[in-house]
Amino acid sequence: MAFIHPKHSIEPQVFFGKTFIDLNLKPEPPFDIASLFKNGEQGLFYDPHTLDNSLVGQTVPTLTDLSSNENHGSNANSAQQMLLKIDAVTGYKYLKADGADDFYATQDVDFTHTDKVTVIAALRKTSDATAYPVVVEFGASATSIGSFHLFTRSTLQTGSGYVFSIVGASRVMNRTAISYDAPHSAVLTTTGDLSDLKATSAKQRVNGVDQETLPLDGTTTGGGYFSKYPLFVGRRGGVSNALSGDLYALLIIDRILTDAEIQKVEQEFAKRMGITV
Amino acid sequence: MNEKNLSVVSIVPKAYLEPINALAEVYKCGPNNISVPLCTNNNDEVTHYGCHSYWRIDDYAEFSSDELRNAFISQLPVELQEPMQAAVASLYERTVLHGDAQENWQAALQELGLTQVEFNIE
Repeated sequence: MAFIHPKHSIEPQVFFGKTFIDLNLKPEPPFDIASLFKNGEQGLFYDPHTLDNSLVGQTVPTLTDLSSNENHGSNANSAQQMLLKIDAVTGYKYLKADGADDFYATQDVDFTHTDKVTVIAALRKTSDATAYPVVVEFGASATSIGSFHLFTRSTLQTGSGYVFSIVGASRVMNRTAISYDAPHSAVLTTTGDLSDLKATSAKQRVNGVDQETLPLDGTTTGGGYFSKYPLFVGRRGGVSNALSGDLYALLIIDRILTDAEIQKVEQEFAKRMGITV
Repeated sequence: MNEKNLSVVSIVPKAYLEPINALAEVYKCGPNNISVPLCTNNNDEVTHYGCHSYWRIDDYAEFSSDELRNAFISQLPVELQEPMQAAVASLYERTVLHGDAQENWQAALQELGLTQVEFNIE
């Protein structure tokens, strides 16, 4: 009869006569993404998998911010709330955005102290039918001073590369050189730095790979800081440019994460979608 | 059985947006329920508004019941009853059980010859 460690409810695997536990090869615990905010960093962390199982198959009025910043996403309108589903392969929960009118908005988020931002999203885009579908926008307009924007495509290009822009005294807007046509699953990592605005100030990674980007717009002068706006997830200002896709997780933080931190978050997000980074 | 698995597209002419949103609010759907500006093809002028929503079948049967809608309308002040009747009569609804939201939405727009008003970045 196999030995079952009293602290574990599952039977340990046996390797060459030694158990997993004997070999001290315990699986690494999942990275605590909320710990990135332990020094009071501003931002948010949404993880639909933490929503109660009873909500599966229901529309969700509130996305709880797990960063402790109280930047919860909410929408009181049932037609505009995303539908909670379970990934049949990975077992993780995600939110389905309908591509018509679904979105969440936060309270005003104060980024006025920073000129840097990291956005990481685990997303499956399911349609390229609309122009500039919004994953997340900080501010209600693409030209708002001190804003940032992540879209699943633009109309200024052939194909459907992901688009990231930051707006300080001027705007840098880049798209991935590679076209990723829907349906496409991706862990999208973007970093923006307004302090020394140039073409490379808005960087993108897709599934752990640094992307060559091409400019869609940008006069690349000046700097500035980010501002204080609501964050919109899934729709521009709650009015247009709706996202058609499945949102598995979203992290926004007021600094550029280290390479090691980015890799940990990417790996954790990728698990939710069953992809490798 | 309790899942919201009915995909519903609702579209209304611009003139009736307010009464239809008032009706939706009565059914506890929240404010400003129909919110997507739509225009006829190749024209930027907004002529209609639409929304996509997910419903439980039973809830939608109640929402779309003529009997219940007429009962609601009959309780309105007399001067509002006719406009509400006209608004309800003009409401386009497209339902697909277990349907894909985006497919239903695009099919509805195509049927009515409408396009979404998009705000480009340029």
